[in-house]
Amino acid sequence: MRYVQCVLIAFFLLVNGFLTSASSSERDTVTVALIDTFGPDFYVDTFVPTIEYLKKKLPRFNFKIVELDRSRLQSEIDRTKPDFLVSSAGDYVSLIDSKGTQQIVTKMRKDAKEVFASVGSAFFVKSERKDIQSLEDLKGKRIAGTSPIDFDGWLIGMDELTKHDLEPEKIFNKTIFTEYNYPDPVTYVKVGHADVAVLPVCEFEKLVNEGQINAKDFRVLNPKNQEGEACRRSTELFPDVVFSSMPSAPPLVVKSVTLALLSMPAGENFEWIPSNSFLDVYELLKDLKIGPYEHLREKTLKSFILEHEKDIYLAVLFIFAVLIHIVRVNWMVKKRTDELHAAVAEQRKIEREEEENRRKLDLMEKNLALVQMCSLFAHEVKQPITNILYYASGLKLLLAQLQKTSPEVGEVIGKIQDQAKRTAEIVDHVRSYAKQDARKIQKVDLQEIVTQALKNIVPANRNLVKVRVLPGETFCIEADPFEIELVVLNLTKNAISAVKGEQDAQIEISLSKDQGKVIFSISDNGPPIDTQLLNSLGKPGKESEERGVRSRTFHCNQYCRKAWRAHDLYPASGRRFNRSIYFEGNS
Amino acid sequence: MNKKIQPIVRLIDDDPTVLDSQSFFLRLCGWQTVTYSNAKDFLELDDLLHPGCVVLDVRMPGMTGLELQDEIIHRKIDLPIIFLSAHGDIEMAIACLQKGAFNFLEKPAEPEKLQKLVEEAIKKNQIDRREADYKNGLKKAFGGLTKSEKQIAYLVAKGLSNPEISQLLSISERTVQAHRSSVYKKLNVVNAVEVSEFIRDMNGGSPL
Repeated sequence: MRYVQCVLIAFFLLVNGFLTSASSSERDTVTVALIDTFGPDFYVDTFVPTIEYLKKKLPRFNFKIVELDRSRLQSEIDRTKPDFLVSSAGDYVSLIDSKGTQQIVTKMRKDAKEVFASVGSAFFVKSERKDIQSLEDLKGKRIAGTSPIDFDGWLIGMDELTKHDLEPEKIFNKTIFTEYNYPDPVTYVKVGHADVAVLPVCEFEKLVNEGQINAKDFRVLNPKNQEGEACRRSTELFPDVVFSSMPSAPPLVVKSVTLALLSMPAGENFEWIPSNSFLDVYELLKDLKIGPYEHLREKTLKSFILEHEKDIYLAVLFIFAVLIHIVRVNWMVKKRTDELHAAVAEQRKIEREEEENRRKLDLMEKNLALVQMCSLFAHEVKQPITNILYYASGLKLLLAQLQKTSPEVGEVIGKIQDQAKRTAEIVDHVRSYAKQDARKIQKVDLQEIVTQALKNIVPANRNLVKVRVLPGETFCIEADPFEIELVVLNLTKNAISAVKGEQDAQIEISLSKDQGKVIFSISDNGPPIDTQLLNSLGKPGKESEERGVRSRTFHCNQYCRKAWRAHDLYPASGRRFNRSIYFEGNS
Repeated sequence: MNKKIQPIVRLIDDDPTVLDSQSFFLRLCGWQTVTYSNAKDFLELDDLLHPGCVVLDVRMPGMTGLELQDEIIHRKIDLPIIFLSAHGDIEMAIACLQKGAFNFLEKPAEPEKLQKLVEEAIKKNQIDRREADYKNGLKKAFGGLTKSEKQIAYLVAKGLSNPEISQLLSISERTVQAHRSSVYKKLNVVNAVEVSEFIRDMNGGSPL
């Protein structure tokens, strides 16, 4: 068959050359190049009728036909400089980038539904071969085909294998190419020299019609036929022969040839129609790593990158996302750790301040106890001293009344009186020291003291406390700021202790003025306190843990009552428990 | 010192030894003393109309000295109070004196100073009571006047003449003259100036 094909082409070229040389001096030459990857029927059914039609339609052009050696395609094109190219869709796509081919029209077979879905391949095995049911079963088998460069007779079939994750170059034990000679691929299978044959679509049906084979003897693998299709196939369909223009072709010539081809009447088997999609062909070339994707066969880093470009992009994107995630997580961990450290530092600072306050409170309590003891001592000692003075003075009077006085007795009594007075003075002196150490009175702003006291409350509890103060007011009083701070702190802590566990816990501190007095009030919505407990507050030996009323409260009360004329604690209306201390204002 | 009615010095202190020593000393000074160990006994048992004074301790169980002072003021008892305190401070002393205390001494008080203050307090009490008796006599005499006589007595004390009073009250001058004579007789005065002084003394210094 290949021989017949060569004879036909030679004859056609000879006739064409003769005619061309006879009139070349008068007409412009238009070179049409042919890439020979087709069967003999192509020349008879398609190529020759088309060229003949062009010659007839465009007599002003001298059409010169050249056949390109596919093994040296690039140099052949450079050498012959054709204006038009007739090739398979695969070769056309392969030359788009390198040689600038531009499709004019594509052959559409009569039985094809779309111009871009005309040709395909079919795998045939003998019907009796139960061991070959799918394309995957072809591993290690022998295959027969027409030609390794045949687009629809081989390449499309191999592409289908790649779609099943099979490697065409490794899957087969033996590969036989008939080059369109006899016997054909199906005959190889029939006689047992091959296990499977791959043919262009409709080639099998043609052999059956010619009576060369019996259709029942063969079975198609991976059938993809749709309803109404006459020919069996194993692959998707691709565009058929492409008539394309080359960059060297004059535009007017291209226009004329294009119009001529588009106006060429539909023949018995085909017509020329522009195809609008060659994407499947690109994918095929890429899958088979041929044509513009030949470089993918190279085992270099560049080829690897080009081959797995998408995967690499995705991997890089993924790694980048992971890195961002890691950086973000580390940053957040660092931030949280810093916040934790800050919180711990703050907590420790508060604890230190609380410890310092406790220490000061203890010291103050000791001082208070000392003052109270001094006071008690002074009181108790002064009574007998008073008695001594009265008795001494009385004795002096008595002796005078009895007229028994003498200078010596008078002197003794006087000395007794002097010593008693001196004792009283010493007691007062010692007591004054204790009084001086106990307090440091100065002018202070009660609002600042409240703010300072609340800093000693842990933030979680501090949020429970709402401070209500008239804006722009100052609340100056004469007092020992540290003592007042402790009183405020202790009352606030007691209130927090009281509302612990309560829903909607609320503590309110308010500062106000009334008739020259500065009033500090703190209220909470903790459980109510009974009158008996209220009355017991401030009395030694009656301390209670109820409502968080601890020993501190006792001291608060002592201070409030003695030092700052505080009013007694009293419950307010409703559930709120209110404590107020009245200070003498000092504006 | 009034020999007919011997004034009494009331000593109130929760410490019996202090009561003994004070009482011992003041009795030798010539005063009659009565001792109470708490404020309640004083208020219940003492003859408060008897002249004298009160020597009062500030700190006592139950009612304190300061609270007793409030009660004495409340009951309008006119006995002068001398406070004695082992814990006295200036603030407390000022508060007591502002409320009308006679004096405030810090323990141990000088016996002689106490004696002197007791004497002054008793003297003051005696004078106050004499003045009070005098005022009560004046009020009693003035209370013996009729309504018209009281009206005319006030106008006479203001220096108005009989015709002026007659015109002011729209009564005859002879009637005014008769009322004026009756006022002079009942109040034991002889002229308008003495009527004015009578009313002033009766009102505690305020002329009208």
